[in-house]
Amino acid sequence: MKNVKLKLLLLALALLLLCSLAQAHKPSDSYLTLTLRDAGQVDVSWHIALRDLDTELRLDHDDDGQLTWGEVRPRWPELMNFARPTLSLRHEGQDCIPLAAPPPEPQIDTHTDGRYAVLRWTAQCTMRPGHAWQSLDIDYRLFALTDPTHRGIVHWTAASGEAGTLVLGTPRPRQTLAFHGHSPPSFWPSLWRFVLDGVHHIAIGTDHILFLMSLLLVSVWHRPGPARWWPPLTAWQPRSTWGGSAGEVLRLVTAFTVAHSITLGLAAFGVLSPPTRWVESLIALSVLLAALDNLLPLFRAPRWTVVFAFGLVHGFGFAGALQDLGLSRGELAAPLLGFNLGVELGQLALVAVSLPLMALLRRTPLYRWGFVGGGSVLIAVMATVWLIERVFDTTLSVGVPGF
Amino acid sequence: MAFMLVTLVAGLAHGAPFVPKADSEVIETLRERPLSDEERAWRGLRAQARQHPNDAALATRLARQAIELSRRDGDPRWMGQAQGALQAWWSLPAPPTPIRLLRATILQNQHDFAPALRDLEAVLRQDRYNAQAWLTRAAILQVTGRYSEAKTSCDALIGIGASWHGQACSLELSSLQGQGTQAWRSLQALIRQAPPDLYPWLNLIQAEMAERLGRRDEAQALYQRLLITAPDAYTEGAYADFLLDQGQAHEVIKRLEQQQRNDGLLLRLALAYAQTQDARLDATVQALRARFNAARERGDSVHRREEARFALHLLKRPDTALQLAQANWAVQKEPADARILLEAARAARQDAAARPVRDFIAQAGWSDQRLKPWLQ
Repeated sequence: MKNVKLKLLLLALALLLLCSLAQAHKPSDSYLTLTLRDAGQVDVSWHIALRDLDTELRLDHDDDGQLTWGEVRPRWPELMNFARPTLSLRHEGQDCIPLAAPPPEPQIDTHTDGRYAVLRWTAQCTMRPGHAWQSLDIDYRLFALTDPTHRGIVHWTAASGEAGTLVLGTPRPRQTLAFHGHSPPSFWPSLWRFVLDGVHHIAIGTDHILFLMSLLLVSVWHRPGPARWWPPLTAWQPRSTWGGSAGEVLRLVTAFTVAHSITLGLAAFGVLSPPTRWVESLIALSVLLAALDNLLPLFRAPRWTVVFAFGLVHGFGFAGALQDLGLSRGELAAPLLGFNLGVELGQLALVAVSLPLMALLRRTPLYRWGFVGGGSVLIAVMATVWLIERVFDTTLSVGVPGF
Repeated sequence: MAFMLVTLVAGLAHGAPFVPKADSEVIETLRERPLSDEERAWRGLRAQARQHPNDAALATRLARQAIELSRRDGDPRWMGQAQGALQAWWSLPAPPTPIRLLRATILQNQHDFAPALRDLEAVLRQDRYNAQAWLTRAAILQVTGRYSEAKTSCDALIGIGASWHGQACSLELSSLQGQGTQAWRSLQALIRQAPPDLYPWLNLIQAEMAERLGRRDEAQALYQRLLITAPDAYTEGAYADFLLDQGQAHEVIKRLEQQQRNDGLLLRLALAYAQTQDARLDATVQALRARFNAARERGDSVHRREEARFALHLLKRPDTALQLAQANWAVQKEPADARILLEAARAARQDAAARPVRDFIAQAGWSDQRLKPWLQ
């Protein structure tokens, strides 16, 4: 008899071990946004998972697993009464008191793991006239009795522009927002971090570097008159002055920068998100075409217009890298600006190193046949390999676009 | 110019809370089915436990049932509830043995292997006939690659009369230590005599072994049977990986389309979309990216293996994937952990990074057909 019991007990456990090693989703979180206003008021916007509220308050009245708005809406006062006391804010040693204003309309929001109730109210904290925020103590106890793995993710902003993020929960239910005065300290350090990320992305982004190199190689030359196809490279004439080269580089870099800034911004804010494989393939194609155009004139339009078009594609590529750094909406200004600046610094460094050398060598046969000829062929070969790799990965049957 | 654009676009960023249009609108699907009797009973038990917060027996039952529900759904929220049930004892240095055992299970689930092992060893000092503690200990040690210590746990299971579990545990270890074919045969023999209630567990071990040996038809048959007789998220994920390796992505899509709440399964679905050039790939990749970011925001790091696969195969970022795979390898050492590190190291052209894995495999004596392409 004892043996049978042991076996049954073990069965459950044996299976449990296997599953537990493949954690399936995120545990419970809530998202709390605190906006600190000048006269000591705090606007609270608290997103709490309906799934968690159901576990606690049984919102699903008919137990059918589907939560309707009609099941949730009438219970809203109850949700407020349940959640509000689990969050306490203290300023200057005094509790902040929720204002007795008419409650805002019930709202729902969507997060990665489902729908959340949006609870909003305003609390009044003690603040002597003429004083500023000192430090705000938060005590967070939501679901503390039932789920110690629950976390409250707090995003706060103050009127001064200061902002920050905290993670609260059973291990650390109490934390303090500390203020440093007027300057927004979190903006500049994070800006700097994203500048470095941007530089890093250029430094390791061989495709972007080779695209720029292809352009720069012939920026010290120009193609006067009707373009001749054959023999290769012969249509190019060295520019007579350094100034001409510098002007061309300025045009190209500006066109590229403006273009990739536009698409980076659009992608970062989720306005446009083209398929990654096409973006990556088009980036490879842009490198290939830039290199080929050095050898044989492909484009009749001014070079900067072509560069602008390809810059749009590269911008989507930068956006992919930026997204991987893990950002939240609403805090994109510093990352976007910093990352873009970093990318540009990286490009300028490349220009600063290569341009003087190229300008010096631009009349030599070594430059013509070795640097531009050999270099462009090498770049074209590498770009072809990338293009095949990137297109092949997903679109074998379609064929190589642009050929 | 860039600056102007940034400030211009920054003004557009906002969340999107909304008010549902009608009372009849379904705003959240909690489950694909009505509340089960099990879950209803669990809620009743929880209400009872709240009345008697110091009743250890009640808390133990509540936690154990939550852990079982977590296993079935693959939902860590149940694990949180289990931990909540044990709250009064959770921080004690030496809680009563049944509670300590459950604490070890929950810690292990959070990949806190060291404290879990400490709890298990304390339980075993109190009660060396505790089969659950031996089995959990064996599993952790196996996952972390400490095979000789795991073996002592398997032997102990046999020694205290839990011989089916002990033998299966030993065979799984020897199949990882260069005796795959022999272990396979012995396990077949064991299953013929084992009580039927152990089939799901034994079949899952068997399916894994079959895959390592390259016995694909047998592995497929086992997975299919398991998913009919004892379906759960773990088996579904393992089968999806098998199908992806066989190029049967359409089958994966068919099976997983309706299970998108589970991150691990959503990853497999995205990989299947990538294999079939499905138009839904990009939306799925965006969803996964958001979920990994959300996990990171709360400070989680238990998904590194999955995240490394995501970074390598879907984002095509071998360097990021390699870092994740290395961090994961420092914690756990199953064949799937080795595979993602080997793949990422090759894609990132960093052979040296694969060295620790190659050394481990050589030393342990793994022979795994799935790893062959990456070990040449």
